[in-house]
Amino acid sequence: MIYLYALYKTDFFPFPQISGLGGVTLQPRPLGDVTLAVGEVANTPSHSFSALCEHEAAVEALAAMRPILPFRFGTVVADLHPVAVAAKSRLTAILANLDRVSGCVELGLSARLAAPEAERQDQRDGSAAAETGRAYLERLRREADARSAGAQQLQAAVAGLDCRLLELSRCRRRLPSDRPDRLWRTAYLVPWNAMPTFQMEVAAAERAVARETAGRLSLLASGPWPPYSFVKEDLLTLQQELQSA
Amino acid sequence: MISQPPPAIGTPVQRLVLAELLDRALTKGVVIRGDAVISVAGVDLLYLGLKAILASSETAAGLVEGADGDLSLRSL
Repeated sequence: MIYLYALYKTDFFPFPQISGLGGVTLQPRPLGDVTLAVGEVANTPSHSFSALCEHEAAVEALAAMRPILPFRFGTVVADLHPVAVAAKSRLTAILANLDRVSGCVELGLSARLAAPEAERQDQRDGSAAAETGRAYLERLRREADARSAGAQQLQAAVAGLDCRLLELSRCRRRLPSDRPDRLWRTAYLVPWNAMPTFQMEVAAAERAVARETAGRLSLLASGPWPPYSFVKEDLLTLQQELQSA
Repeated sequence: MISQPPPAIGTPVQRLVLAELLDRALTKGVVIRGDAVISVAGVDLLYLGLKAILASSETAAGLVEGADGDLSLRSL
């Protein structure tokens, strides 16, 4: 089976020595104008944390060398032919997507709302588990009120920051929040040479937000990441190839 | 980037960065669909499982220690 790590524009640079899942060395598989970075796997990769880290390490090593579009973790095919057909039919979109991320990294920025001290104490001593139905509903209301107030504080605190960061970025994407206490999630596609300024802006904003909200709100940055969030949706689906086969 | 040793994952910042990695590598990127593709059926379970683990800093700390130094955790 063939594990897919990333695709990139075919070039004449030497392919780097990179280990992937199970320590297997990655190989280039040219498909005309684009090349796949792949690795042979004997079995379906384990659904383990270490496998995820091996995937991420390989993708990051590739991203450090050239513009890439990373595959989602766990993408395995038995045969590259359908992928080659799909890549050929969507070549323009793939190359445009590669041009879009060229010279850039993805940086993440989130805003987190700290739980009120009383709720943190409840969680520590386990009293939340024994609360009555009324107390439960009241706690939900307090949490909703706190989120609403936090959202207003966030709006004031980061007013202008997003615009300044967007000016430093090629583009940005708002990400859905996966937890109630994460009020705001954004991914920025930032050119390498703009990273120091971006970092300074974020660091200053982190300090300002912590100070102005007395620690109730915190801005949290992460990255640099390969440009996962800036891969065009449905860029390389195989449905048409399979139907015509 | 990768070579730095993993920090203990007890703080909200470290848990957030791990959550960011999970969100990216497991829910974004180039996707291939189709019957000929051998999908990793457990990826969703891995995602949900690790996300649940993130709720517990103590458990997450043990998880990272068990990752044997290959965790990519970065924060600007």
